Amino acid sequence: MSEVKRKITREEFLWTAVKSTALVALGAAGYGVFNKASTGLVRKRDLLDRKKTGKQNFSMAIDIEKCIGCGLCVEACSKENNVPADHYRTWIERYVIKKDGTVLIESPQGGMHGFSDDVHEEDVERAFFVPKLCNQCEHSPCTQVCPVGATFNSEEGVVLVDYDYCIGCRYCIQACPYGSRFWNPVKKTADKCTLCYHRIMNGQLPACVEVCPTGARIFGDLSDPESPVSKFTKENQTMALKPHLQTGAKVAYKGLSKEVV
Amino acid sequence: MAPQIPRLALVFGILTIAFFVVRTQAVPKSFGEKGFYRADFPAELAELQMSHAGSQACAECHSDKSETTAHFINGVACESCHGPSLKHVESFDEFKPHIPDKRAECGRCHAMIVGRRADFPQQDMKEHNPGQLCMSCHVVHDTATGGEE
Repeated sequence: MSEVKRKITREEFLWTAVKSTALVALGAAGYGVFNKASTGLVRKRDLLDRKKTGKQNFSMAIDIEKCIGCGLCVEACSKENNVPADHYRTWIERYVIKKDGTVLIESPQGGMHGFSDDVHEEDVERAFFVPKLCNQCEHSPCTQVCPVGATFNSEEGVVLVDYDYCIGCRYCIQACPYGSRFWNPVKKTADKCTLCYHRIMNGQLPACVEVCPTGARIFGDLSDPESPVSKFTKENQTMALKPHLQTGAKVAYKGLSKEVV
Repeated sequence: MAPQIPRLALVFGILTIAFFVVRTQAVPKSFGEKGFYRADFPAELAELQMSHAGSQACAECHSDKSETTAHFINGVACESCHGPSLKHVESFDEFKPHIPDKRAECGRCHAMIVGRRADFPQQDMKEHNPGQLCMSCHVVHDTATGGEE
């Protein structure tokens, strides 16, 4: 047995290096041309840069101290959007913190018909209502998992579901850390709050904001510094839900308690 | 050249062409124009029929109510109590908005329940004139909140 190793001359080595570099460069260039020509996709990051698009960035703020838990918003939402029974695009939770330290969290029928008075007031340290809805995240986990591009961040900063294109795999429902999505048994697709897209694009307020009797819900365009929601978030200390998840949740809560976050 | 190479190349070529043919059919029109979604969809969604008219629309005809009602002046919308009423704006004879008169309908906001903030006007519905209609004393479309007749 002679030598197993094959010796490469310097000339051979250099030629191989030149050829392989050229091949990789050609492949990368080809991929780039193919990708651009066949899909014409715009980078998502560009869309989110609203200074470039000049579009609105709709959002909502919630003043927890003002909410009285009447449930009119939940009812208006389900009538405006034909939400099937027992499903909610927005809902109200009641947090009752008792003197013994236990926390009771409830949302009977999404708070649509209000809350009962069966809690003994003597045991209660404090209690409050928290309206919830889709947070219209800037880096939404739900749109990232959609395999077909049926859910997306619209140019106006609203996360929408394309009902004609959704294949009903329900990944997005599991991906949402806020429980804002649900399976719509009538449409047979995923469904969620659209900030009443059909209303806001026609100059109306979302139905929940329209009917809220105490002004606990504030709606507007975050890219306009004079809009109610921009003013509210500037003038008050607000916080998003689950900020550690870095979802870029836009809905700002004033008076958020540690039991809720 | 080995005989299987051209055959495999043919199969590969047919599959590649088939992929692009299927792709042009399966990808919806306007997909990818603005991002990884169907660019036509937002405009389609914006066409949906509304059901709430908004208080401004109500005030155009019912200025007598909007100018004098304390609820309205304090920011309560007409449709908070009367329900979605865009149909009434479109044809006011055919659709009449709901007129709330039950105790529970007032109690929805004004009943005393745990969690409702103390500075909000509320009554213990079991103690406060049980069985009587709120409207028998209170005028809802009045200038003073909870004004009594």
